Amino acid sequence: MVEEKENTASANTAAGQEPVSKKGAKKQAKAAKKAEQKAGTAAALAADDAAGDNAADHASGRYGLSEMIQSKDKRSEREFVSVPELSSHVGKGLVWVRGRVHTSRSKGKQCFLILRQQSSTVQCILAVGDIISKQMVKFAGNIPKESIIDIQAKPVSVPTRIESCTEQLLELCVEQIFVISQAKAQLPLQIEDASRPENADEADGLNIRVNQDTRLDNRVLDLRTPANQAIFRLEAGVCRLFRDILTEKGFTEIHTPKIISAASEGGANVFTVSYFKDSAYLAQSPQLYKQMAIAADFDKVYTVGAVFRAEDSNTHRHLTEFVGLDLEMAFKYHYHEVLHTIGNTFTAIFKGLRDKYSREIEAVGQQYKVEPFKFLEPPLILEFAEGVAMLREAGIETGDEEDLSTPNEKLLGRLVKAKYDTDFYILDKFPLSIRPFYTMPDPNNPIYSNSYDMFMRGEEILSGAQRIHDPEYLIERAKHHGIDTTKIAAYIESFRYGCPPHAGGGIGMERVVMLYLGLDNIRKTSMFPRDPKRLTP
Amino acid sequence: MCDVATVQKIANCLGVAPGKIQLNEEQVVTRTGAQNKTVSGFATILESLARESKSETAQNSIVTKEVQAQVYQWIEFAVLYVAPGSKDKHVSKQLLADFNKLFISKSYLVGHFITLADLAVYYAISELVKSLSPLDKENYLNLSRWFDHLQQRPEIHQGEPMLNFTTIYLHNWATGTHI
Repeated sequence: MVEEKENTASANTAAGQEPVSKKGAKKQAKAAKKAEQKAGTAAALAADDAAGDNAADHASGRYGLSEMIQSKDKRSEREFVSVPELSSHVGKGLVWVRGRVHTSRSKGKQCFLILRQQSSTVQCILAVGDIISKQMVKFAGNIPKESIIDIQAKPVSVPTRIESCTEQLLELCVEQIFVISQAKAQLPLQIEDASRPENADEADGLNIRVNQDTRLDNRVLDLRTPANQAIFRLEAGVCRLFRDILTEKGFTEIHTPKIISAASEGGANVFTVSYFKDSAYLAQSPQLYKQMAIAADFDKVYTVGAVFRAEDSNTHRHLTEFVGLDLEMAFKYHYHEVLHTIGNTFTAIFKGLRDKYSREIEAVGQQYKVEPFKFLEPPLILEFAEGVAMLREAGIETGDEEDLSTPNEKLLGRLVKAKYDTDFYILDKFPLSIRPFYTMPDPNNPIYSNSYDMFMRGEEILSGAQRIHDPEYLIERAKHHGIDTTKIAAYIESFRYGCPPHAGGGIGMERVVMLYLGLDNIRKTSMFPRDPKRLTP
Repeated sequence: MCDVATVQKIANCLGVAPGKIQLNEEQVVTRTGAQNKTVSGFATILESLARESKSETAQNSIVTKEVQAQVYQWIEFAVLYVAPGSKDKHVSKQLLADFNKLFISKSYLVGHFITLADLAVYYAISELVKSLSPLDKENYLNLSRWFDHLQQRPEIHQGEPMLNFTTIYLHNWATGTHI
């Protein structure tokens, strides 16, 4: 109070022309006091620091920035343990662990550091003592997030669960810490923010989200989140299961060319590439080559490869480049032999994902709402006409030969789910008029064809049919569709040397994963997605 | 809505002989009832029909002075806002959203019983509800519930085809993704 009055007096006399108001004077006094305090603490800290820095660093040599690893030393005596395995090393002495700094905070004589390895996190603690010095704690607290570090530590069990880590029953008491690869201090996005669950109900919770464009622009960082790690491991699982199941059924994997001379499937748009002095196209589907492989006596084939569609569709489920899992099979008398094979393949894939990838599914569920995928065994097969009847019952007007619009497809998916309790079903016998020219018509009913679509969560994932294997009939159907047969001469030629009846279908790998998990956008399941507006990274 | 057809429908609803309903020179609907007395104006006609009716709806509408006043307010609202608004793209969306919110905790517009207010709004909004897609019907779940409930009454739908609301029950069974 005395101070204040003095200041007021001096302010008044000093101002001269303008008498400073009481309020103004108070403000000045407050500012002066604050500055004094600040100077005081800064001086104290500096003194402290100086004292600390000057004090002997008894931990030197046990921490620091490692020199760039150029394969100089083998260091084979260092045995590294992965974070999920740490629990079996508790109480058994020191271990080496390499991981990323997820977070680090130092408070005076202690530093808590969370180490992350893909989807696992473990708490590490450095406390000033015999082994660890103050400088070492300070160093640990200042390591930038996402830097890769090597630590030698003792795993100890903890009395209370550490809720914020995946390893909840142990922590690492660090004895040595080295930075192997330092990250830039300013990150374009925080992994914590990118991993935050999308709970719209949490009103108090932090609502910092990273939007999709930022994520895709900094994909390297975004892919480190536990949910993304899990999604892509699951995607690898889908491919692996697809290959294993079909190989077991006697299929052979083939690889088809992606640079082709003519657009293979009617309708979809193609990308053009310059091919020496000419131009060529990027394949929209391996359709033609699968069929040629069948005509070449491979009997049952499948192929996993890129598919390019130059469609200017900016939707949640379209990409310009995606991975197609395609299969084609020769059959004896009825295309249902193939239909059931495809349906059973799907059922086996779903079972495999459910049984062998439950950890990944759970990890995705930590961030995104994942509703378990339901399916029937054997898979549900409805006829197109039945589907139309169900829609009409619900008040939708649609013609007998009209293709299902996307809203109708989704509604039908929900009606099927409500009636049969399955997220996966097959619709058989589509109307002939809406299918490509090479689809075999139904012998008993000219309106329909031997074609089928398969749906997951109400969205189409596979379109397939029995293909016409007779060249004369193929020419007839092509003419009926108004297609110039000279343009597809090579295609027709492949059937002139004897070809068995065959059928098949193709699925989009990203779409299958997206729909299996119930995610809302296909870019979440494509590692480096391509769409009309995105060409990098 | 304030036309001859609707008035006749409501008269049938209330079980009253409509008398002579026509539009006068100013395009206002009039009713010439028994004793050759003419009344004009939609709300007035409704009241006169209600007075002659012994139906539940009519009796409910005059059970207390407050109910009567509220019913009259709703009828006015239906004539002045709901009927013309339901023909406009943006106003109709707001209307549906507002009604949907209202019906979260109410089964009828006035009190817990059916009144003329429900009839007036029902007929004002029925063309609009007819044009909704199943997804919309689901989004306006409470409004759909009220509408479906009313249209079940034979005197209200009067033999006309009923609107299909079966998909609103999917709401709890199969929510679907990417809707």
